[in-house]
Amino acid sequence: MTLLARGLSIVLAALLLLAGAGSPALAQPAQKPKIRVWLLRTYVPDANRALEDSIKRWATSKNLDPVIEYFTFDDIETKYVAAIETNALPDVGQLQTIGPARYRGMGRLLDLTDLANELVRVNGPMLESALPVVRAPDGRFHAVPFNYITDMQFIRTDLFRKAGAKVPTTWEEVREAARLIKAKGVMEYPLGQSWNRSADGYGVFQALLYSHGGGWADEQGNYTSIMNDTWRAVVRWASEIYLKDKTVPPDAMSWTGFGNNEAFLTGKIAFTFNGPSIYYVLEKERRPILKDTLMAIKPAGPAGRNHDVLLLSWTVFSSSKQVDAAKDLIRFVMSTDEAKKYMQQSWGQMVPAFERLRQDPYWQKNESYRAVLEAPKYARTPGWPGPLTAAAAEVVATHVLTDLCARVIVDGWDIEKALEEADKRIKDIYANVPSR
Amino acid sequence: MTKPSAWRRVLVADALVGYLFVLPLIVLVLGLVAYPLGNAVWISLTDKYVGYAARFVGLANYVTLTRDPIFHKVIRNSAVFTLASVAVKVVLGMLMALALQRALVARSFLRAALLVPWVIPTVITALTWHWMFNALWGFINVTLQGVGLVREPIAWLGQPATAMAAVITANIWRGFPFFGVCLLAGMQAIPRDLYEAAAVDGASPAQRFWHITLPGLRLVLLVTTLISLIFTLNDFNIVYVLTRGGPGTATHVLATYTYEVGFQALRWGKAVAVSMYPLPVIAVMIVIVTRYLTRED
Repeated sequence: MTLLARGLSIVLAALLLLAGAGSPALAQPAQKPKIRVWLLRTYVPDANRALEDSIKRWATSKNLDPVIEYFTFDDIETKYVAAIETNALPDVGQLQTIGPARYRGMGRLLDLTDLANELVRVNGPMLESALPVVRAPDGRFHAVPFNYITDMQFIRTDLFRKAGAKVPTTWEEVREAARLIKAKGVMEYPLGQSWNRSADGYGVFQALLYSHGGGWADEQGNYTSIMNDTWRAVVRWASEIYLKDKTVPPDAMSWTGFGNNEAFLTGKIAFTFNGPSIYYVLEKERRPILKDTLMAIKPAGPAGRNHDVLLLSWTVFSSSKQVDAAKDLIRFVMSTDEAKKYMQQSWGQMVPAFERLRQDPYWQKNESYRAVLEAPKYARTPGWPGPLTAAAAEVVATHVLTDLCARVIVDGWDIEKALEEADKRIKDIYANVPSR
Repeated sequence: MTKPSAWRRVLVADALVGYLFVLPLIVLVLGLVAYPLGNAVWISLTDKYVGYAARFVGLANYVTLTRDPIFHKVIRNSAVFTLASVAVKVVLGMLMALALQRALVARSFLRAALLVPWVIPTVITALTWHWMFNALWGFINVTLQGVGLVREPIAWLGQPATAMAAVITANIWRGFPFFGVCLLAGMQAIPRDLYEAAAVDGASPAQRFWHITLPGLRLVLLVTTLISLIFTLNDFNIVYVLTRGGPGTATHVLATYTYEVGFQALRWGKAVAVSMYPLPVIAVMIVIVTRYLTRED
C-alpha cells in the first residue's frame, strides 16, 4: 500500500468513528416497542381526534409507541388487501361490515371470543344485529363491535309540508311522497337515490330487498336463485323511480359516494338515504336547513323493517407480535368511560352496539338522535337471512346488486334479462369463492 | 517478445468489456421489467385469491373472461375511450404546436399556460370536471340553461353516451398539451430554409404543412401517439373519480375493472388476466414503432 493510500485509509477510518460516535442513534435511549393501529378516518374530525387521544393515553401508560395509520371508506379494502399480500398487516385494526367474514377464512384474524365476553360483562349485551358481523357461524368471535354508522332517511320537512307529503314509513310511501312533491311543483327531482358503485347504492338496495323479504342465500348461507317475484318487485321499484316517476336527478346513476350528500346539503333534493354524516355537517356548521331536516329510520316493506348494516369492528391480526397489548388496547378504548367519551365526540354518528352504552342520555337529545340509536336494531348483514359469508360479501363488493338496476335503467334491459345476468353472477361467486 | 496470457486476452476483449458495460442495464431490465412481467403472467395463470395460495389453472382466467359480458363491455369502452381520446389529442396538440410556433407575442406565457392541464394532478382535473358536468349545479348545465339553450338539465354523467363523452373530454383536456409540446419541439427541428424555399416556389401554407411539417413530424408524431395510447389505455384516475365506471358499466375500462376484480372481488388471478389482455396489442405497437425507428436510423 502506498503512503498516500495508507494515509487516506486512516483519515477515512477516523471520520467513520467520529460519525458513529456523534450519531443520534447511539446517543438515544432504547426505543419503545411499537404497536401499529389502523383506523377509519371518519368524516367527524372530533371523533377521530378523541379516539387517537385515547389510544395515545393508553400507549403512554403501557410504555408503547403507537403507530396510527388511517384509511377511508374508499380505500379500506385496498389497504387491507395490499397488507395481506405483503405480510404488512398492523397489530390492531378496524374492519367494516364484510371484513371479519372475508379475513377470518384466510386465517388472518385471532380468536377474540374471551375479549368479546369480557366486553359484554362490562358494557352489557351486544345488539343481535352485530352478532352476524363479528361472530363466525361456529360461535367464535374474530372481531368485537366498535360502533354502527347507520344509514338513515333524510327528510326536508319544509318541502314535505309544502307538498302535503308525509314522512315515508314504507317504500311505497317513498315513491308516493316523491311523486307528490314533483306533481305539486315543489321540486322537480326530490328523491336522491343512486344505484351506483358505493354504499349509497348497494346498501339501500339491500334495505329495499330485505324489507321485501328477498335475498340470495338461504338460512344456511347457500346460494338460492333470485328469479322470483320478490326480486322482480324490488327491481321494478328501483327502476321505476327513474323510468316512470322520473323523480330522481337525471345524473344520479353516476353519483359517487358524496353525490347525494352534496345534493341534499345544497338543497337540490328533498330526501335521500345516507349515513348520518349529512346531519353532522348541518349541525356542526349550523346550516339554515338544519331546523327543517329530519333524520328518520328507513322505511319498511311487505316483510317488515330489515335494513343494511355498517358496523365497524376491532380485530387483532394473527401476524401480530403484540397480541396481549393489542387486546388490552381494544379493552381500553371499549371501556365504558372511553367509549362514552368517543361517542359524545361523534355528533351522533357512532352508535354503540353494547346495551349499557346505548342507554346513555346522550341519545335522547332529539328525535333524530333517537332514530339513529334505534336504527341498528333493524340491521341485516349481506346474505341475509343466512350468515355473512365471504361469498355474500363478494356479491356486495362486486356491485352485482346495483349493476342489476343499471342494466334496466341505463342499458334498457327488461327486468327478466337483468335478473338472469345477476343470478348467474351470484351463482358463479358462490361456486368459486375459496374454501381452502 | 512474449505472447500475452490467455486470461489477459480475455480481459481485454472488446466483447467482454461491452458486456460489463451493459450488465447494470441487464440487471435493471430483469429486475424491474422481466421479473414483474413474468410474475404477472404466472399469477394470471393461477386462481390466486387474496390471502390464499395460488394454484395453477392454465388459461382458465382468460377463457372465463371471454364469456364475461362485463369484460366484453369493458373492452369496447376501453377501445372507444382510448382511440377517441388520442385522436382528438393529436389534432388539438397539432393546433397548439402550430399556434405556439407562430405566436408573435407572449410566446413563453402561452406555452406555460397551455401546459397547465398537463401539470395539474389528475385527481384535481377529474374533480373539476366532475363539478362542471354535474346535472343540477354544474357549470355547463347552469350556463346552457342560463343562456336559454336547454330547458331541462342534461345528465352528462348519467347517460352512457354522454358519460363516455365526458370522461373522454376530461382525458383530452389533460393530455393534449403533451402532444403540443412534443410536436412543437419537432417543428423547431425542421430547417427553416425548407419553408423559405417552398414559399419562394409559391407553396400555400396548407401545402407547406402537408409537404414539409407533417413529414418532418412523422417520427415525433408516431412516438408521441404510441406513448399516449399506452397511457390512455391504462388511465384509471379520470374514469374512477368522474364516474367509477358508471352509470352501470357504461364507462368501465380495463384499469377500473382490474381494480374492481382485484381489490374488491379479491380475485387477483382474474384481475391480472384482465390487465394482460391488451398486452399483445401494445407489444405489436411497440414492435412496429421500434422497427420503424430503427429503419429511419
